[in-house]
Amino acid sequence: MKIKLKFFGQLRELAKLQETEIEVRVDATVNDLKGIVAERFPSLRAHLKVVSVAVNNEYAAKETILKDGDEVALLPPISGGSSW
Amino acid sequence: MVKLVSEKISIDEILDGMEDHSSGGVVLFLGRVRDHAEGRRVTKMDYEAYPEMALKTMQEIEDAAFQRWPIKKIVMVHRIGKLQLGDVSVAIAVASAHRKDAFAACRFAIDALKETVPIWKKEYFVDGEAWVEGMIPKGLMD
Repeated sequence: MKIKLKFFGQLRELAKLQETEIEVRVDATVNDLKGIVAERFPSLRAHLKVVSVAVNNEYAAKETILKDGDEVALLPPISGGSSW
Repeated sequence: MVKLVSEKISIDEILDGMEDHSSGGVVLFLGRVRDHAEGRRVTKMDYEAYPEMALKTMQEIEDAAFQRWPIKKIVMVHRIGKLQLGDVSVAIAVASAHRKDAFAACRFAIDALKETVPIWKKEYFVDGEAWVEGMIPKGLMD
């Protein structure tokens, strides 16, 4: 099955891509997808440890099972709110 | 009301959205581009959003604010794209019968925005550039 993968911020710059389609096996999880991304985009490997993943605009756990046509986004760190 | 804009944020429009005769207090928070970051001189800033998800998470923050405080109005607007020093990047306004709830809800909304809304900023310095990486984004309930 195919999923649509989106990159943002530093990941977009490193991947030199805004979005792409990736073939994954049926019942693949968010974690499986991260593994595929790490192989396909070696420049992102180190950064994948510090990303959130969104599936269809919702924050998703690593065990989340993907469905055909899902839109998955890799979300690098944001600014946070610690120093006000 | 939540909004992403690529031009200057209109404060007038936001305050128009606060019109409500039962609200005695309106709190307005403005986030602006600052000229320094961790000791380095910032010259400009670039904001990038995952627009659909940013709007969705901003709406979740507003819904949560309405649930937690007896507020009457809340508006959140974020600007995307290249901004100069002093430009307003984010504006949040809250109206309520009494100021206490408006202050609390506004504070909650900006803090939650910084932790949950997928918007990234890149700082430009005299001698380089860097993405600001404070924390891994998370859901409002996580």
